Amino acid sequence: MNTPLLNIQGLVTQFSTRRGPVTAVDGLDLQLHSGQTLGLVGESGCGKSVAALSIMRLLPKPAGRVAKGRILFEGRDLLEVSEADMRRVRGNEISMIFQEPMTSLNPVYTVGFQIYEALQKHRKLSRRQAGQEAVNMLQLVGIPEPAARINDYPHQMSGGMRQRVMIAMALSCRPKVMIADEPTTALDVTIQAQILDLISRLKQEIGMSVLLITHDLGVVAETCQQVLVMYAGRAVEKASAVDLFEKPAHPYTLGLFASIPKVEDEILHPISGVVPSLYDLPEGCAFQDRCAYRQAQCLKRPPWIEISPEHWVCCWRYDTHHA
Amino acid sequence: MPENILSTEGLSKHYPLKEHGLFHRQTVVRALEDVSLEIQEGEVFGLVGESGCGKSTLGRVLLRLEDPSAGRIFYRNQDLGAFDRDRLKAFRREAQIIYQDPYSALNPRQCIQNLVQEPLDIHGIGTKQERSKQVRLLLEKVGLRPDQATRYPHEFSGGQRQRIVIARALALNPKLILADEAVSALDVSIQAQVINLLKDLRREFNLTYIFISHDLSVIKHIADRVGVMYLGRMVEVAPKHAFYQEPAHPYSKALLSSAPSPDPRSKKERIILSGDVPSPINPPAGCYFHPRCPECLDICREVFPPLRLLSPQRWVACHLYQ
Repeated sequence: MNTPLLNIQGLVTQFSTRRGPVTAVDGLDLQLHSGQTLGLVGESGCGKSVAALSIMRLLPKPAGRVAKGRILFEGRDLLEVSEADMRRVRGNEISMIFQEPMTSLNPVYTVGFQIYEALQKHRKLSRRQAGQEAVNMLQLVGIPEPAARINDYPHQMSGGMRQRVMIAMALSCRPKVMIADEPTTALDVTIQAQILDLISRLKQEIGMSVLLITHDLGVVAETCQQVLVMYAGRAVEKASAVDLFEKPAHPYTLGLFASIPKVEDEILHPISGVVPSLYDLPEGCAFQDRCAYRQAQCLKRPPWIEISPEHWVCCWRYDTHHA
Repeated sequence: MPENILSTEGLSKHYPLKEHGLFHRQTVVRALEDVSLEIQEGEVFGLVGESGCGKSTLGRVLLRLEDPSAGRIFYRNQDLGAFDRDRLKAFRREAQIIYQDPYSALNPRQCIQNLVQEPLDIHGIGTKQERSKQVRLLLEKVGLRPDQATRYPHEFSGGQRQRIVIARALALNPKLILADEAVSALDVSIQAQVINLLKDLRREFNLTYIFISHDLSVIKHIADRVGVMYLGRMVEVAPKHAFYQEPAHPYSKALLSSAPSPDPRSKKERIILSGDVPSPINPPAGCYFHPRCPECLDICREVFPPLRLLSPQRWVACHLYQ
């Protein structure tokens, strides 16, 4: 395969807290290729949003910092570039949409202003051109009567429309990568279907790559080609979507699938126990306390094992040398 | 045929908005319009719909946490609206509610012992020792350790807190539990634990659930019958299997096809609705769904279709079936 557009190597993100440092992302490797949609899946607190904020260099300061690793975007390490250069990347080449569109939009400015602000900054358009382009963007994301709605304030729009505005803003500079952090979680299913359909359509039209962060395996199945599963700050499995859904391998992934209500009247098989606190993760594999396949070796950090082409699992269970 | 535990006739709930304008034209939010339904003893009735469709309002009105603007509710064939204070208090012993957010449902300054014991105190059940013992039993029933009773809510995770809320709801030995998005805020693996718990408890205590959720897969898993609401109206009521195999109302079809399925190979034909849910302040004329409906007829723009029996136990409010 050709070189990935976005290549994250050994990312470690830490937060300093009153109880000492916490490692929210621990050694994440991730490759996003051009034109691809990669799903980053995991439960709350597994570090998926922190990983996204690390890429954008938007970690809350001074508590959060990237302790180790490289984030290569088109060969350039984003952790090394100056803040001024980073500003040119943000919104222009990599943009991000968040879960709650109401808190991401400024309530005292019209949506039109918020869209063309980015256009003026990054694409150096005049006010009139930017205004026209903003109308085009609203049209593109399917807002009816865009020329009239451009003067609306965020509170005058519904949740689905606000998320469309967020997407319009994110896409206004034709970024190469869009990071979508739970873009449809706050929305109803029929609106979610509209937004997911919109994202995949625009992905084709603009030719961008998408890093989709979600906890919803259904959303992943519908939109992603590649999937990476995270647990307690670490990646545990990565594979193509088809492989992951048909042959999930890591015990945590298996547990996630067994937890989804599918077949009626059948009893669910949830993962027992709770996610360990990041303050006292067990030695070795973070999942061992909840794992049905636990063995003695789990006290050591498990290696990455390629169980079939391009299907990687971080688990001792698949280690053929010891079995 | 099991008896109806709860039934309604033409239930409506309108919330008046602040009056404004020269002639003080009163505008109302029609949160609930003309809902009639029957819930049988021992069943799980799933209520689905998108946000703002009135499912929570229906739940609150059913338990008389709010009084309906029109229509009547019958609890075991007795008019709930005519209940006096004492009978209402007795009714509240038998009907309990579990909310979505276990963080705001528990007073952070009270320990678990007090929180779970409070209903017993209010209704004056047993001696002090008996109540305290009962709390420990309840905690065990929901999978917590009795020695955790002295702890405070912040010491528990979301899933554990929801278990505490469930223990409190069970304290008075209720017959009917309204679960309003009870598992929606939880992660999938924790959600599955709580769903299993609710199913076990139902069997053990012979409970009736009204299960409100926007998640169709959760409803599919737990419910016996499903009611679909749109903009304050019930548009379809059906047994679960019939509903999931062959939804009748165009809105039900769209809802089911929108739900993402965890199978990357299934390339099902999705019905993507255009537009948003209209405002319940100013609903469209005729069928409320007609502006978004892919199968809209002329009559749909003018006349609201009443809920009619399509086949045994299947009710649909749609002109396509009249």
